[in-house]
Amino acid sequence: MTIIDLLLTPLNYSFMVRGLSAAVLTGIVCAVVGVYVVVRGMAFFGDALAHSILPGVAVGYLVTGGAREPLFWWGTGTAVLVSLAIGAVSKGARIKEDTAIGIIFAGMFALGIAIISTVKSYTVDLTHFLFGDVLGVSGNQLALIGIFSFLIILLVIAFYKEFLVLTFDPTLAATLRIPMRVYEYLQLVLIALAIAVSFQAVGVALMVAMLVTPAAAAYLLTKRLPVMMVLAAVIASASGVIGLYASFYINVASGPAIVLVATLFFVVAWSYSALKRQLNLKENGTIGL
Amino acid sequence: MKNLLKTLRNESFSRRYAPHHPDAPLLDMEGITVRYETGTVLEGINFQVEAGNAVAVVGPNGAGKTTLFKVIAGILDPDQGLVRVSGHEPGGHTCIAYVPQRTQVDWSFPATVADVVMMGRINHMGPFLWPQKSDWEMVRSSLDIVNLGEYANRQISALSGGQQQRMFIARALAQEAELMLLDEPFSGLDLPAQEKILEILNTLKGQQVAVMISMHDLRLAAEQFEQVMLLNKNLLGYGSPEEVFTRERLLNAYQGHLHFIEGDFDTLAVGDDCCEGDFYDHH
Repeated sequence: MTIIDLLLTPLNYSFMVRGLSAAVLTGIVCAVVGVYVVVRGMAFFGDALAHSILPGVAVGYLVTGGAREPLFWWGTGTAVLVSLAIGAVSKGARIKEDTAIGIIFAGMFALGIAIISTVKSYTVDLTHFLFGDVLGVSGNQLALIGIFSFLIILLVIAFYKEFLVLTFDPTLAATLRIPMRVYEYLQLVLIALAIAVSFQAVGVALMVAMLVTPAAAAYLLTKRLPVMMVLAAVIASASGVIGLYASFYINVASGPAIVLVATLFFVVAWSYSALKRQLNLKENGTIGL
Repeated sequence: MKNLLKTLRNESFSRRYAPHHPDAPLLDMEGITVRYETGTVLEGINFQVEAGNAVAVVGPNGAGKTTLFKVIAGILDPDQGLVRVSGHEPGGHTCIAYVPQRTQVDWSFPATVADVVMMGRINHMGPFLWPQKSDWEMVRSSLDIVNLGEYANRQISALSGGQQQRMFIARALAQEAELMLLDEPFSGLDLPAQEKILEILNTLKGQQVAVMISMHDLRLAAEQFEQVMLLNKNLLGYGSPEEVFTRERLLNAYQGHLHFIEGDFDTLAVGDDCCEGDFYDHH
């Protein structure tokens, strides 16, 4: 068996082709939006938001009797609602933001599992919700993922400079009369949508890895935000493809395989940047770039 | 398409370009009062700044200098009083630039010096549009004015304190600001770095850009600025250093935190024992 055979064989299976497409699309979307999560230090928020969509998905699961496709809409609706709720709560509350997020996160997650557990044969589906089932993506689901991915990326490009100022310097945004609240909520909604789109691929438990890991690896390799977005998207797509092939040949679950490859990319990026720093220190005594 | 977007924006966002009244002063503050939960920070502040003025704002810690700047910039609404910029309320203007204290910036952010300066151009670009060639040219010339041209593509974390400060002045220039508010630009800088900023301020004066600078160093304010403002909740003096830095007024402003040493001539030696341990004498 040649390498080309190794690469082509999985493509004979339509579920693999759909899975690869979904993995690449969701990888790109999560990575690009994840850049904001990383530079704003919102990893915990992203993790919580991913877990919080479970009750919505669970209710949809009960209502539709286990059909998969409507779950996309249940997930999307819940993600947007929860992101706005966390945004509002963390502003006015007397408790600290991460505490508030922790409470909502665990409470919603428990509610989701409780609802799903009322169904007798729930374990398989629960596993898919938690860890993803990218090979189970249908043609319709893939189309929805494609449309939403396109929309999210379009919004990120359209409001790039507003998001940049909001992220780096909210005071400047205020002096320039940029309606910050609007963009802040829009950013939260984009993160929510990215999570809803990727729910099928990696599941809620590993979602934060898709948001944070490729973006963090990219952060170590560049000094500019747009470059960081492109690099993160490349790393995430590569992780999706390599992870799925690994899953195909060595028979491990697809979601964890993708996340593990992304983690490997991060370790390589981290080693590279640490090495570079060391070399620069030796060469000229300063931290060069 | 681009032109269409530009027109759309100028129609719908035209309040950003509120017309300037030719006879009105650049900045006119009238009865500004700001209260926080902890108490009154500014009370009944009245003053005017004309185009091209450079004003050093001094006062002890907690005197309300940053609050005053935020009110002028329109970031904070005063509880009472009116702020007029060229005869209009500040809400319509983006000709004021607020340069933050360096400690309030995330220097590990993935941006180059040019990227940060470009942020000042945002309102000059249309919605949905990315920087045009003319924007990049503006960024380049702004960086040249502050002598940071060769640093354009450096990551911002690679700058020294003085360079960081100059980068933000360049951003204010790219914003085409007519009034720059610099919050403690000299704190933590060594003398050569301070001098470079003072030189740039001189250049700005030539371009009719007005500047208000908060600082701790009374001597620097007295020596380098024609106008000084003494602030401690109330406006205790505004005018030339000779008029403002009198013994009673300074005592009034700093109270116990000020030490007088009689010098060779009429002036005073002053220590503002603020958190940074500044101590300046005047001999």
